[in-house]
Amino acid sequence: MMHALETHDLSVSYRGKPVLHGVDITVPGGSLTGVMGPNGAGKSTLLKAVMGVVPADTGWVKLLGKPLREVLGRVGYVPQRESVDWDFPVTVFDVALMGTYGGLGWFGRPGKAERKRVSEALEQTGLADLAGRQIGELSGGQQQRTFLARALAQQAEVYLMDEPFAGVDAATEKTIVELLGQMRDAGKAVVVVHHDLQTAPRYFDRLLMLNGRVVAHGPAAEVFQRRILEETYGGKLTLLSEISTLASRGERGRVP
Amino acid sequence: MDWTSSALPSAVVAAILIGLTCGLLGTFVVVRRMALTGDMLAHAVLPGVVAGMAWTSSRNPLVVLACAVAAGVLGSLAMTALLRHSRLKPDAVLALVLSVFFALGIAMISRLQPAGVQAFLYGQVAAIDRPDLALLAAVSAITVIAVAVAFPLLRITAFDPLFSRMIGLPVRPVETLFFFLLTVVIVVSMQAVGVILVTAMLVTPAAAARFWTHSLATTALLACAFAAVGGVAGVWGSTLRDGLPTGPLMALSVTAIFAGSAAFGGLGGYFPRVARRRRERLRIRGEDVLKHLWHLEQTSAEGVVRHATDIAEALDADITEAARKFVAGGWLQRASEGLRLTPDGRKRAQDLVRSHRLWERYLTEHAAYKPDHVHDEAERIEHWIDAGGRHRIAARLGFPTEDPHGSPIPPGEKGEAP
Repeated sequence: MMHALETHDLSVSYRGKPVLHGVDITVPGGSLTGVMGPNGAGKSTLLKAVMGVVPADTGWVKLLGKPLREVLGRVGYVPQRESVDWDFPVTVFDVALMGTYGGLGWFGRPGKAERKRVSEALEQTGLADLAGRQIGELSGGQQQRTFLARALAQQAEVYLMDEPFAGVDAATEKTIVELLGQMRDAGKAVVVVHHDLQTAPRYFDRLLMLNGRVVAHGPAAEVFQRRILEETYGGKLTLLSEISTLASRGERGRVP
Repeated sequence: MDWTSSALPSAVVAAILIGLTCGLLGTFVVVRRMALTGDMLAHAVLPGVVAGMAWTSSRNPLVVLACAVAAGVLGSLAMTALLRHSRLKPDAVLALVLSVFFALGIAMISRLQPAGVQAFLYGQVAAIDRPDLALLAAVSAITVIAVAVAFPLLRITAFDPLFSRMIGLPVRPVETLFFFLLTVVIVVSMQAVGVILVTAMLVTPAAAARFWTHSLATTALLACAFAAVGGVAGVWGSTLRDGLPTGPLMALSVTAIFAGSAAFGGLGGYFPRVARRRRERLRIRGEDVLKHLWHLEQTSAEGVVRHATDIAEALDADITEAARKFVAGGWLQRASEGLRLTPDGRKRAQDLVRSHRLWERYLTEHAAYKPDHVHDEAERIEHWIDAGGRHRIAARLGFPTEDPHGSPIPPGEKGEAP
């Protein structure tokens, strides 16, 4: 069976520091997965490795059964809030429209069909009235929804989202949860980095508990247990990270 | 500057072309936050310029351009290598590359003393001859066409390079092409404005344009216009007196445009912001007057009249201007002995009091404020709650009729629950 996302023995270093060790995961289509773990557990790094932004030390990643470069455009991405330049002169509509660029070729211009798709995405995310606003003039929740609208307009099959619930109001949180559910029901695989333990078992049907390695991965009800949570959040594997940091610094010619 | 009659028209044409190209590429330089990179490139090309001029005694502009671009590419490569393999932060890397290449260029000038190099250092539009102008025109045409064709691509890769890569857009090739074009434009513009001031032509017009528009396309068009106007103004200025250099005058002209934009631009310009703040302050003061009269009416009679100086004293504020505006707006009425509420003014005052008391109630019930802590907060907030906000708060509280101090909350709109 083809998985929407599959990693095998994926180890990743970030700025010379090993962050992820031997990650094996499989994510099926039509699922909503929460990626959880303490700070520095490698949640964002996992997304970055899946997207090929940081190179893998070992192992491989397959999306829809293929390497990323063969499925470009079928994988959507919602960035972390801090990585966006909110002063950039673009409107809500412009950003959402960018979701349609993948299907247009390098020099194609979006036409009527694309604009209609964008209008629908803005409608779904409750941003139709704000389409002409510059993105810096929005509230945190509206900003997050703008990028969700772009993801919807993209009509991808796999979505990677880095903390879409960070800094949003309660109403937006509800909207996002509903939209994510709709995406799952439409057969998409949605992988979401998430921080809030309280809401995790309600929001996601699968959970991936990370702490430098995969602590647990599977249906939320099975994963969300005291023992696993303690193992995920209860202190790091000091030896694993210390020894591998030594090795990595040595290999890079630095003082270990 | 000494002008021969034939040099002036071509100088004006050159200034316009430089404005177009610098404004266009400068827009992307600004939104990509790479102003310092542009500055680095402007300095890095100098050794190439000197080498090219020393090499061809006839100063073939194409050879000079090729050498300069080669030096610029070297500078970019050095920057990339240092960023990747050293622990230096980007600003230190740029300063390092910039100064090394510039030092090399200056050393070469002292040693080789090529003719006409002064124009590149300080900028000299009058020195631009026919072949230079032809080259400038060709570069401008290529730049305009390239940016027009690739505009959506340039925009999306500048805004979100990671997303662009994920959807299969050629992020790296676009960036390489942009760097290359930028280097070429810098070299051909340098002759008019000089090494150091090229950055002014790149960054300043685009930065000025950002005070007027939120659209990237409009920013680019405005930046072109600003840079062209500034360029021509610089040329014109240098004809006024002997010895006035064109390059610095161009830089000063675009800076004047920037200053004007920063002062008067609708998006964050100083004076519009001050005016807006002043308008809001007057509105709040006027609303305070309405409230004051409304409270007086509660203890005496509807239509009570108070002298403006008494109100001012009670509010401890100058209300002259606010009263004038509110009279003109139909909220207040002038009577022989002072001011009184109009029916509209009475309604508005009542809404304010409703906002105030609802908010006090909300703070005590839902935010754990003590009843004696809520007044000041509500005094501020009441001016910013509209009918929709009042309704939402009231609904949340179950449409209460009293504030935490036992004062009645005035009723809401017709049709709103009790």
